[in-house]
Amino acid sequence: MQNRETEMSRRSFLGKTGGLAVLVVAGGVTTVFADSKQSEQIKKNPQAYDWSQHDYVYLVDTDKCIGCGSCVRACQKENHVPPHRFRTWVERYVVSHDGHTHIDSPDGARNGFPPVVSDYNVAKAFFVPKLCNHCTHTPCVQVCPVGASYRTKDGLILVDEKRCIGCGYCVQACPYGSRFIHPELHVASKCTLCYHRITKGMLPACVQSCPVQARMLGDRKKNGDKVAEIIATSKVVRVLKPELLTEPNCYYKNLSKEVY
Amino acid sequence: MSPEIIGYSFPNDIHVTWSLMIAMYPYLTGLVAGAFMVSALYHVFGITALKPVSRLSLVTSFGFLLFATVPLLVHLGHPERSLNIVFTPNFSSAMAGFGFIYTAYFILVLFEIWLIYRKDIILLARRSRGIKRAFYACLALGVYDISEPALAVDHKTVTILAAIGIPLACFLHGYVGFIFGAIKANAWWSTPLMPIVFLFSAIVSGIALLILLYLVLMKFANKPIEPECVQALCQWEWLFIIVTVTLELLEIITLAYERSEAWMVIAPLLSNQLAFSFIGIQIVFGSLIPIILLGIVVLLRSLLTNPLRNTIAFIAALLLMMQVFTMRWNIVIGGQIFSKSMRGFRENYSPGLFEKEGILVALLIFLLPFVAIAVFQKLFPNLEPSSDHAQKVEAH
Amino acid sequence: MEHTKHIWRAVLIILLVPISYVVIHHIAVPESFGVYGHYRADSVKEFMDTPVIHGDRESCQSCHEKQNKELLANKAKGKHATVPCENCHDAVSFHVKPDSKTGELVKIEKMVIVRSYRLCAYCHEYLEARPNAFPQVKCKEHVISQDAEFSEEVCVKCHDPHNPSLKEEGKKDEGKKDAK
Ligand code: HEC
Ligand code: HEC
Ligand code: HEC
Ligand code: HEC
Repeated sequence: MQNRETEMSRRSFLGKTGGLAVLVVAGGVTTVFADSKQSEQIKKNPQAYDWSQHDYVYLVDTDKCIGCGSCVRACQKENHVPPHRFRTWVERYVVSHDGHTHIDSPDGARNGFPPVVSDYNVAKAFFVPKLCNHCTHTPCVQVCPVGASYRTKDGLILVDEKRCIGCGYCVQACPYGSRFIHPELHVASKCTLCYHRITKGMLPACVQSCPVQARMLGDRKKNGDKVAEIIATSKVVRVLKPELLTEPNCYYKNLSKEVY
Repeated sequence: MSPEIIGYSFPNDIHVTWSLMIAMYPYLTGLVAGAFMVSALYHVFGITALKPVSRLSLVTSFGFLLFATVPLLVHLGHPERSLNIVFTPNFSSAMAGFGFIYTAYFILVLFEIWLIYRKDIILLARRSRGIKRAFYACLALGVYDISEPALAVDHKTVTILAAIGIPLACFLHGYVGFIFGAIKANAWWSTPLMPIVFLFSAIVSGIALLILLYLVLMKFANKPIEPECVQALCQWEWLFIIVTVTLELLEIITLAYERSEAWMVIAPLLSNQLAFSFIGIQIVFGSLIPIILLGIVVLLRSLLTNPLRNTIAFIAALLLMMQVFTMRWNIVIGGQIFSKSMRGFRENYSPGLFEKEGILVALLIFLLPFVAIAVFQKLFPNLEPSSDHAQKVEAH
Repeated sequence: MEHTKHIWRAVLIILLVPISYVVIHHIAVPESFGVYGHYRADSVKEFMDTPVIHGDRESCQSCHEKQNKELLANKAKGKHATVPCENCHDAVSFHVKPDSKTGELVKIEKMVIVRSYRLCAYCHEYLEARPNAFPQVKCKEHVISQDAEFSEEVCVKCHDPHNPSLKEEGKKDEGKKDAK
């Protein structure tokens, strides 16, 4: 029942662009910036995307994640992610009563997780999906020497593949290990929250492929947005490595203290 | 293909993004800055004992400067876009200033060398014929003024340039340390001491290189080695290596004593993956032994014969060249051996011999500056300390 | 200032550096750079225009509504309602494409069908870290406990992948016969 409810809220998020409309008009969806000159055009074309009207947030509920790796596989296909590099991955934590923590993420959970035989009494065990945190004060954009990494008005961090010189400084600066150098394109690459999808009113591939709604996308600038509401009101929502003051926009619900 | 991982690494963290080339780069710029400091000691601080290496130090600095960017270009995913860094620099990035500082320093050193060699160039232009003459005339910019007042102007300008050059060289290299020191995500790099450690070890490597070059060049040219000069170089070297090692150890001792979060990864790092290169080479072989050797040269001065001093200085300088390189290596590679998960370590990292960013290419890049110095020496033969003497002879 | 001619000549040459910088800067920096911030604004557009690979949760409906009405209805009411079709099959854009002329969607490639138990195991193999409430089995033991022989494609013999519940009695026996 609960699942159904979330499902419904997704549908309303998708709005009228649901179904295959998007595929048919792929590329035909005009994307317009909130420029003074262009705001005219937005009025004419209701489908146009206005990035000043969005402020995306991401929420992961670690209690729900079943560690199936569907998100990782979907992400790899959607974004042509090269082998052994990850825009998103899932970690498994198996914690014993005396605090011993076993962590693994075999090939980023691209093929799910094999059973492990732990030789101790398991106190708790859980999965944690990870991805780019799209930090507000992100070190990766700060250190990019050429302005190839940037933050969009709707709150995402992107890398301009045509200007990146491939120095790798951003890879070093990201505290979350979310970036990598693309082995063929030789530029920095990372999660875009499927910018090509969300700007068309679709969900990121990882959110959509999650069979248990452990991953959710929200929008702070949308009235009554459920995800933004949870983040604002919940007491069990936190971010990773808060002490670094990067102000992530990716939040974790029910996150265990072992994770950072 | 994937490396052995101990503990848990973030899956993207198992790749060593900054390879041997990025260890080469601070090594080369360190030599640039260090060699320049030696010339500044003579030109600005009036350490006359260093006169025999005053030209050599500038030319060495320039020779390495010419190739300092090569390891970066080899490393970049898109070297053809490297100029983006000067045309659209993002000044919130520590790296963005690189192009400008490099260019400014390049111009400064070139200008200074030109002024110092101007008289030689003009004499060479007068002496030679044909294309050679045209070449030197071009270099003289068509002005053949070597009157006393003109040379006095040159001398004054050189002193000013050398004085400006000191902060610029410090900046050029200190900022390389800053690139590492200002990364809060990396426990091994993130410390305000980093630029200072880099700077001091740069001076150590610069002086060491000059000791080596001076001894070798004089030996091959069959010219007398000035004991005063070697002694002075050793004294300065001793001072700087002591300061450097103190800073290097201070940083680690502070982390260990504070039991900071960083120590959680640095302790295993130093006792496993870096045990050999840090404790063995950087501290014992590269620091302790040279400090003792140079201590002998400095403290037991009166007991040493010239050949003995030269031998000790040579060995100490070699070890120090190695020390500084391993220090760069331990910083650059060491910082990537542990994952930002703070719980995982790579087995270790060793570059391949023939890869694009491998050992062979690194050696080649390291040799290029020496070729440049040799070419320079061919074009302007007065690298040696006796240049004054030679010029006097010519003038007669 | 006598005897400084050579210095001025050198300074003049040095001045060529900033001048050429300004000139090249003019040519080398893309037009849209800096419109919204220190980056190339066109890059945002390029990201938006990247082709979509996966559809959304309704993208199979339009075509399969007619041919597989029962299947869709079955799935919608079963426990796998929340499992997207593309998780078990493949991304829709590998299967269909808009026709270049009419813009209508046409099938271009056979859709992947995975019958292996490994697919189910991604989600249902028993793992300590999975939430307890999530239905999970030790695949091999589960099959054997249901009096069947284990084989690669065994799961789908008892469970309908689109509506896997077997709690009702009739379905249960039917499946067992198939699996043997
Ligand atoms: C849990 C995994 C799973 C999901 C989710 C799923 N399928 Fe399937 N599907 C299968 C498997 C397995 C088969 C092969 C069944 C068999 O041969 O017995 C199959 C077969 C099919 C077939 C071929 C049926 C036939 O009779 O030839 C169609 C069409 C189909 N699926 C469409 C869909 C559509 C549309 C959706 C989404 C509404 C969907 N599937 C969701 C696993 C799945
Ligand atoms: C253009 C409309 C169209 C869309 C959209 C579409 N399909 Fe199909 N699909 C077809 C056609 C046509 C066939 C061939 C049916 C036949 O031969 O009986 C087919 C066949 C299939 C088959 C059987 C295997 C095969 O390739 O013959 C499966 C499974 C399937 N589709 C799954 C899906 C899934 C899952 C989706 C959504 C992700 C989807 N389809 C979306 C048109 C479509
Ligand atoms: C992408 C993940 C995923 C895959 C793959 C998947 N399932 Fe499921 N399955 C689910 C989810 C989610 C549920 C609903 C769990 C719940 O109700 O809490 C479910 C429920 C079930 C149930 C429980 C029904 C009940 O009555 O409780 C069975 C049986 C089942 N699946 C069998 C299968 C089989 C057989 C396959 C392989 C063909 C399969 N599943 C593949 C995600 C998956
Ligand atoms: C011989 C028929 C048969 C086969 C083969 C079979 N199952 Fe089942 N499965 C059942 C029956 C019957 C139930 C319901 C049992 C019950 O409710 O106790 C069931 C229940 C389940 C459940 C739900 C368990 C729960 O706790 O609610 C899952 C998940 C499941 N099966 C997965 C699988 C997977 C995965 C495979 C393939 C490896 C598989 N089954 C193969 C007959 C089968």
